[in-house]
Amino acid sequence: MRKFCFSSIMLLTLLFALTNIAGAAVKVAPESIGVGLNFSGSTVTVTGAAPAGSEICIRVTSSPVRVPLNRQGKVAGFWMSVEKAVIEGVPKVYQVYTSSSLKNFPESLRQNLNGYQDATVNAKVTEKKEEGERSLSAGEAQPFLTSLVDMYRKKGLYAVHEGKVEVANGRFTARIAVPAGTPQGKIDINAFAFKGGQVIARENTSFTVESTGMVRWLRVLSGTDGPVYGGVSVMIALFAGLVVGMSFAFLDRLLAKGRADGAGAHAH
Amino acid sequence: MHIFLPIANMNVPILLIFGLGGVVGFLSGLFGVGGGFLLTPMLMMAGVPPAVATASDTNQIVAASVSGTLAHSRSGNVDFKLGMIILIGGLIGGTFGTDVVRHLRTLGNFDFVVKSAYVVMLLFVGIFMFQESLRALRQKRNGKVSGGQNPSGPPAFAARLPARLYFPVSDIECSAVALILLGFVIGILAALMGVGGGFIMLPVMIYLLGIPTLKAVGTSIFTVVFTAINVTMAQATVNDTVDVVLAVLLLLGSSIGAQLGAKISRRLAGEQLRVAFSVIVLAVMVKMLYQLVNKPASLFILGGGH
Repeated sequence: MRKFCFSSIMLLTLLFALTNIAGAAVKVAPESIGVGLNFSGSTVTVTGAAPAGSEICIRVTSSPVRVPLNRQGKVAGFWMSVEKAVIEGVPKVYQVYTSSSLKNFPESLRQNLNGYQDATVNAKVTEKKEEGERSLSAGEAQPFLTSLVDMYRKKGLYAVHEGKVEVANGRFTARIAVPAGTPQGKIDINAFAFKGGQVIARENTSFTVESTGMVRWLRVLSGTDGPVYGGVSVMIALFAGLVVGMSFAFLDRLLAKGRADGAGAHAH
Repeated sequence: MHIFLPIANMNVPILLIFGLGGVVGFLSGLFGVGGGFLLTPMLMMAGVPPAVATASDTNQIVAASVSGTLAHSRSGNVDFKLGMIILIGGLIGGTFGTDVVRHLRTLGNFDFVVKSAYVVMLLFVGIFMFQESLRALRQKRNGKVSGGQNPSGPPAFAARLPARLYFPVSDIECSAVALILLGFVIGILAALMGVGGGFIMLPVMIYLLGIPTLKAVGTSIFTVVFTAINVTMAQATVNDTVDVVLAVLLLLGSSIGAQLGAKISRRLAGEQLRVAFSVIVLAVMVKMLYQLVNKPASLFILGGGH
């Protein structure tokens, strides 16, 4: 009976907390990021309710992408690709923001973030050879996954930002980085409230990254109609070359005219 | 200030790309060569994926070569008949070369092949230019007039090939088969290495086919226009690797640089300039060779071009 009462109280507490955070849902602004020619990364702001005495952890992930990755090896004194693989099931973006040091969060969370194991837990690595394909074992796949995570980390796509979530007056705010290499599509945001080593509340939201203007037009054209894109590329190059050439010819004529006028003036 | 490259899917500093184009254009204007064979490796060093670097460089060569052809045709230095025959081989070679690029990319060794090809080509061109310019310097010191004149005609092997034709503009008689073969090799190089092929075509035209230097320069640029258009179209259709934003930035930089280089070159000694240029070519070759034999920082690289 006492156990039942304790469970009921815990459930009610959790429901209250969930209701509390759900009452003021997590919001992201802006909800859409445009990738134009001047895009060099951006930020979005995530806000929401923070239950009293809780620590906040925000996880930002993109959809998994398919990535071909080659292992380099030395052949006859030269470094070249000796093994070709394709990695699936790993998000291109994986960022974690916390309201304080990770030491204040459960051990399981810290372990999941160690080497970004959480991001690669659903990974599938397939070796590609002329004679066929083969799924690599966890041990064989690990160097590929570690290397991919390292590449993403260097580009700022993977990161752990401790203490970067501000909590004040029962609300949290975090500025989420959107690096230049962020893939197009939906980016998921999961906000967790931790208290006493347990998740007491969770809220999800998302924003989208999509190409705009010239970038969108060129990408769509390149992907759907290569010959037309090639023709446009040639025409643009010709036009730009002609403009530069004509500008310099015009400048030369102006300078020559100036010199001739100068010489004429001296002659007089 | 950065710009986002839609096909390379990366953002780069505008000044870096503009500057790279400008520096290579300046050198090409200064030394009288195309410069594409220097620009592609420089782009790769700047982090642009090799497949995108080669395709986009070819795109920017289109405009540079059209402008050069117009200038040379006004001076009567373009042998259109000879150029059209080379062009037949160039178009076949360019299409074949694009398929080779696609095959190498699926095998995952495209980077290695491009870098190796560059090392070999830069080595030969660098040594050839270095020796030639040193010889010219010595002749100048000894008071001899630097010939620059060509051998009396095509070599024996070219003379034995069938379908011999007379080319009045160049005033030579040469086998159409030899010209088509030359064009074929140039077309493959253009697809594989993102170059117009001028730095290979010129020595062959001058020293093997016996075409007068000025006619060779004009005719070479004329054929490069079509080779570069063909490869650009093929790369865009087959490999989706032409980044027109990158090409335009390079073009603006290289066109301006080439104009400035050409102006300055008129005030400097040609032989010394050629020695300096061959040293630059050899330095790029050494840098690329070092990348091939030195253990890379990471043993894993992204496959598939970009």
